[in-house]
Amino acid sequence: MAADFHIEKDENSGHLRLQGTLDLYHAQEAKKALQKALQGESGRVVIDVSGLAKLDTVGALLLRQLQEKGKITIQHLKHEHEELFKLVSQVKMESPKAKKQEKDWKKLLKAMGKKAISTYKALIEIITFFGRTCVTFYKSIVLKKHWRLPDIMHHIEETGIEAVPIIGLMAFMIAVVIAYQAVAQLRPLGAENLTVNLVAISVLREMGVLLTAIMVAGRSGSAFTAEIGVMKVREEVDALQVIGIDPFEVLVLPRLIALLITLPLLTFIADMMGLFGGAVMSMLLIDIPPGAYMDRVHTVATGNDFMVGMVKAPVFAFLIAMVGCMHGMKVSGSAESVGTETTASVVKSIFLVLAADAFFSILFEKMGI
Amino acid sequence: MTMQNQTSDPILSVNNIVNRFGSQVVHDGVSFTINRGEIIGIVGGSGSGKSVLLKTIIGLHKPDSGEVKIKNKLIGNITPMESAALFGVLFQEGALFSSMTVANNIMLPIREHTDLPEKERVMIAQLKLALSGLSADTGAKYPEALSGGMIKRASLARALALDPEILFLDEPTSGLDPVAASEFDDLVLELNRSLGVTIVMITHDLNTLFGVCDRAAILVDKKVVIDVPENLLKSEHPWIKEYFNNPRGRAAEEAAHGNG
Repeated sequence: MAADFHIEKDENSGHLRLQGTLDLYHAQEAKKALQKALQGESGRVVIDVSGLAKLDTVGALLLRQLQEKGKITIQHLKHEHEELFKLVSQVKMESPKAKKQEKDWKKLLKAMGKKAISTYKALIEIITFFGRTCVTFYKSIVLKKHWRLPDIMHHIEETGIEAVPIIGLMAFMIAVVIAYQAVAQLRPLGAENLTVNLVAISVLREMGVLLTAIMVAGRSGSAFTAEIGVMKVREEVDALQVIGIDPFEVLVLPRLIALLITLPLLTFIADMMGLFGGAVMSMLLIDIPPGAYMDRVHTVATGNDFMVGMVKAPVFAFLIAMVGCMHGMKVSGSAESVGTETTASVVKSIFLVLAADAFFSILFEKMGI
Repeated sequence: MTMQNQTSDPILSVNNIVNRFGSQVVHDGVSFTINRGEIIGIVGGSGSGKSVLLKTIIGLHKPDSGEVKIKNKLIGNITPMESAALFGVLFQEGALFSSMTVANNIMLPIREHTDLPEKERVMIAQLKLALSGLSADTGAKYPEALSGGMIKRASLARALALDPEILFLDEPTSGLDPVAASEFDDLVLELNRSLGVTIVMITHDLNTLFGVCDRAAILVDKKVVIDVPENLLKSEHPWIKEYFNNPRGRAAEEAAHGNG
C-alpha cells in the first residue's frame, strides 16, 4: 500500500507539494488538509502533484474542483496521471434537474387523489379479472373441454395434499386452545361439561374453515402470486400468449379449480382434527371418555353446523385463488415487484376471507341457521 | 491497441484450474497470466466454461483444484473489502439492484467501504455516470426504466465505483445494437487508457476481440490458449481455425485491420 496522503509546503516558492496516495479512501482527509493549507492564501497557489504515488478518479475530481474554485495552478502532473486527469476534467458534471418543491397541502391533496384513483382502478381490475376468468372458463372448459387435468392435479398436490399435516396439526391445537379457555371460564359456573359444545360448534362453524383458509392464503395464495409473478418477469407469460395459449387458461383456471377442490377437503380434515383435539382435551381436563364425547357431539352439533362451515370453504377458495392469481398477473418488470405483489396478495386475501366470513355470519343469523 | 506486452507486470495469474461438475470435467488445468493494463478477451464455444472460469477467477466458485492469485494474493485470502477495491464486475444482465436508483446502485459500494459524506458520494456517482457515458438524470431512474445499453453502462459505472484495478466484463456487448456495441468498445478502450485499468472480458463479439483486446484467451479442450489475435489466426488447431475462419470472423478481422 502506498504512503498516506500529506502536503508539504515549499518555503521558498510557496508551492504546495502533494505526496502519497490521493484516492477514494484518502479523499476526505486530503480535502480537509488542502482546505486548511489554502486558508489565508490570497494570491495564486501552485500545487505540485509530481509526488503523488497514486491518483484515481476521485482524487482527480478533487483536484478539478479545486481548480474550478480558481486561483490554483496544478503543476507537474506525472505522465501516467495525465490521461486520467484530462478525462476527469473533460467530463461534464451536470447536476440532475432539481424538482420543484410543492406546498404541503398540495402534496396531501395530490396523494389523496392518487390513492382514490388507484383504489378505483384496483376495483375495476378485480372486476375485469373476475370477468376474464369467467369468459376463459366458458371458452376453454365449457366449449372446448380443455380441462388441463395434469395441471389441476399438480396444483391439488401442492395446495392440498402437501398442506394436510400442517392443517391437521393447526386444527388440533386450536381445539386445545379453545378447550382450555372454555374450561377456565365455565368451571366456576359448574358448567364445564359445556366445553364439548363450545369446542364442537366453534370448530365446525367457524374455526375449522377460517383458519384453514388463512393458512391456505398464506401458503398457496402467496405461491400463486410468486409463481405467476416470476413467469411474468421472465416474459414467460408473454411467450404463452405469442404461442397462442391463453395465460388465463393455463395459469389461472387450473389453480382456481384445484383450490376449489382442495380447500373444502382441507376444511373437512381440519374439522375432524378439531373434534379429535376436543376429545383428547375433554378426556384430560374434564374426564369425559371418548365414547361419551362422541354422543355429546352428536346431540349438540347438527348437520347444519357442519354445513355452515363447509359452505364457506369454496367461497374462500375462490377469493384466495382470484386474489393470488390477479396479483401475480400484476407483477411488472422487477424482482422487487414480485415481493410487493405477494405481500399485497396475502394481506388482501386474508382480509377478504375475514370480510366474507363476517358477511356469512350475518347471513346465517338472519336465515336462522 | 494499447500497452501491448509493454512490460510484463503480472496482476492476475491462474494456475492449473480444474473444475468438475459431477463426472463432467469443464476445465482441466487452465493456466494463464494477465499483465497490468492489458485487455484480455476470453472466448470459447457455448458450454466451454467461460462463465465458470470468470466466477472461479473472482472467487465466486471454488475450483476443484488449482489457484487464482490477484496481485500475488490467493483469491481465497482476499477480504471482501480488498476484493471490492481490487476488481469490479459487469455481469451479463447488469445485475443492478432493482430496488435502488442507478445513483444509489453506484453509491452502494462507496457507502459500504468508505466514510465519505453523502454530498461527496453523490458527486462521485455523477462522475462515474459521466465516465460511463450516461447523463446525470439517469442516476435518478430505476433499473427497470433503462434500455439494454443503458443497463450495461450503469452497471459499468457501478463496477467503476471504487476505482478498481481490474474490470471483469461478462459479454459486455451482447444484446446491443452494432452502434451501441462499438460505442461500448470505445468506452472500454478509453477507460483502459485513461484509468490504466486492466480489463478481462468474456466476449462472443469478434469485432470487440480484434478491435479492443490485446490478447485473447481461447478455451479449447478444457484448457486455455492465450495469445495475440494475429498469432491465433495462424493456429492449426481445428476449433480455433473454424472459429476465426468462418465468414464472420474474417469480416471482423478485415474490419479491424482496415481501421487500424
